[in-house]
Amino acid sequence: MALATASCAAPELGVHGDLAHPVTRDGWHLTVEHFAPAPGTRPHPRPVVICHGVLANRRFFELEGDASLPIVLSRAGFDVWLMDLRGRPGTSAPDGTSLHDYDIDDLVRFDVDTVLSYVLAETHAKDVAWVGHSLGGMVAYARLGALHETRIGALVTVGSPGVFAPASRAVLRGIEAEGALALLPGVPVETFASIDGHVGIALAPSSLNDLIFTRENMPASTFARMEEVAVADASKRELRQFSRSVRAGEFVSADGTVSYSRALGAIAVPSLVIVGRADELADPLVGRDVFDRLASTDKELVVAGRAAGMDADFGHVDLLVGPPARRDVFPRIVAWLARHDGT
Amino acid sequence: MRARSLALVALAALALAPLGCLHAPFDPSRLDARALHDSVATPAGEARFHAIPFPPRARTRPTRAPLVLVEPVLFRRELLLEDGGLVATLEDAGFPVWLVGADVEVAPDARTSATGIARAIGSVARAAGVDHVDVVSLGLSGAATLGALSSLAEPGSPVRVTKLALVGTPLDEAYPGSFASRTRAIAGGPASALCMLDGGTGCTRAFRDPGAAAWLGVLPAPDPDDAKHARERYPWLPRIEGTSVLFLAGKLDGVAPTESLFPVFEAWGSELGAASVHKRFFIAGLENSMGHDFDGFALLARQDGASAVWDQLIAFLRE
Repeated sequence: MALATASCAAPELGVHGDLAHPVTRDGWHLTVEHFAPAPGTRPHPRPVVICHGVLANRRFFELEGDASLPIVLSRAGFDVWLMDLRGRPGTSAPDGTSLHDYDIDDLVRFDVDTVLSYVLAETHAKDVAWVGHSLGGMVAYARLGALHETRIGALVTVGSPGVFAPASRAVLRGIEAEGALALLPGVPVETFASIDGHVGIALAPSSLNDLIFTRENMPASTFARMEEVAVADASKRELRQFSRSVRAGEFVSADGTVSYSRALGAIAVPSLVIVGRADELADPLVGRDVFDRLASTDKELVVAGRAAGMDADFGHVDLLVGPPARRDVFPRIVAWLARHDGT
Repeated sequence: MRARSLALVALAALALAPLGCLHAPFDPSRLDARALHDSVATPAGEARFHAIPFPPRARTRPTRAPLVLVEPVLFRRELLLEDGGLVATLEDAGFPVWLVGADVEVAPDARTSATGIARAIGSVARAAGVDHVDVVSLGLSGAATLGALSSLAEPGSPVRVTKLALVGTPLDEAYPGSFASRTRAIAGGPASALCMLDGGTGCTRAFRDPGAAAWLGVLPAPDPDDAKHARERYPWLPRIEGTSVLFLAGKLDGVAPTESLFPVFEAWGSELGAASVHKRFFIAGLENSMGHDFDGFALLARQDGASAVWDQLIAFLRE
């Protein structure tokens, strides 16, 4: 990869699926990790694709080891396909292309399309249930709404900002630092996080950590593991598209001509929208706004927090990692998917 | 100054003493004999409203418009009136505060409250000899305050609202999991149930003495408008002109969460040009460089660090 990688060995998470590397129409090799329904379970017919967020890779969903979401779903009889978007370790770019030369539109147009085709070819299913965290849900919004995707039959988004509210100064400050991107080939978050995870030298300000997770919901050991294995570098074009979207107040294409936010009204598949009460990147107001825009007649909004009877108020990352997520969020996703398994 | 505040707290405590009895009448004259009174006829009888003056302590801007503070529902008035509380803070900042609310501890329905608040605002303007006021609406008073704003914005109204701040106030509850939808199931139920809905700790802080918890024994009757989305419930919002507005939400507020305010923020002046709409949305929490994430009670209680939030409020009112 273009950016430096840490030399220390990654920790063993004890989660292993079958790996494959489908190729996109524009020549990128992605990674898909398959977890078949556990033996003895009654298989659900609709396969489940799980997609990570920005600055993360698929191992984000494996941090809980044997209690990770893919394993929990497999034990509940689901056929689970965990994917890496382009730019992650194990994926590769066409010759002459930087691993970090892509924008969100590329993920929507090529990566999502490729993984859907691959999973449906492998399973012979009609469509999939898509579970996306953060950006992983946004690409599904865009694919379903603006590109009228028919191969996603049920949608679960977790902390996915389908619109951008003008509220968080923390996000706006990050956008203001955009100019510094010109100095780098990519955004070396993976390297910094890996150093912190392995050596314990924090290179990011604590306020940045506050932005992405609620401390009491994630044990320090889990956070260290996340930094070691689940953080990914970002592409400059990807982050510039985020910047453009934040400034516009809505999720837009890289050239600004397409509003994926407005296209949310074209999404009619059953949808579960989960947002964290304490999420600073996808505030519940964003979840509500997306929920209101969806055309689906079968849709559900969950604001994960104490007011909803949960034990914790959830931030962005801890919606899917940490003991409170395992206790309060995973069961809701599993139950909803079971009700929307294509039967 | 401090002695006066302490006296106010003592008076407030006296006024609040009989609160073990629901719908106990509140006598505003115990706080200030200059209190103004208005009433609204309802099928159940006359609903009385008060406007209690608190003249500014700082005389830096004596010509500032009256600032109407609409009391929150289900919140102990004494927390606003205590030394260092919101009323004293605004007085110290030079604002001529008028505390407006219903004379009972459990508010009348939203329509009656809207009428009562509008009349009280009119009385304040007449008493001050002005044709415009600023309004800060607290807690559950927001929907009624918007109703009052609507009537005050009609042609021929003798008073206009120049600035409006909505602090921790739910406005659009037409979504699953809203406070209204959660409380509907327990209306008339035990006080503890409502406290549990907001995570528990806020209630403990806001209702410290056992007698005050009885306030929660009966909630206002469910409002049918709760099922309406913002643009249906407040159809005049997209065309509203001449009022600057601040939406101030606690990040962890389970009663007036950000998602219950934002649809109103979006609708506000949406059919007008951006240049003629002055609106701001502020989330009180870590993401906006505050020391912690605020829940609804913390927005109003000095003990919970609310002064940092009030700084935002005062800055808006001074603009």
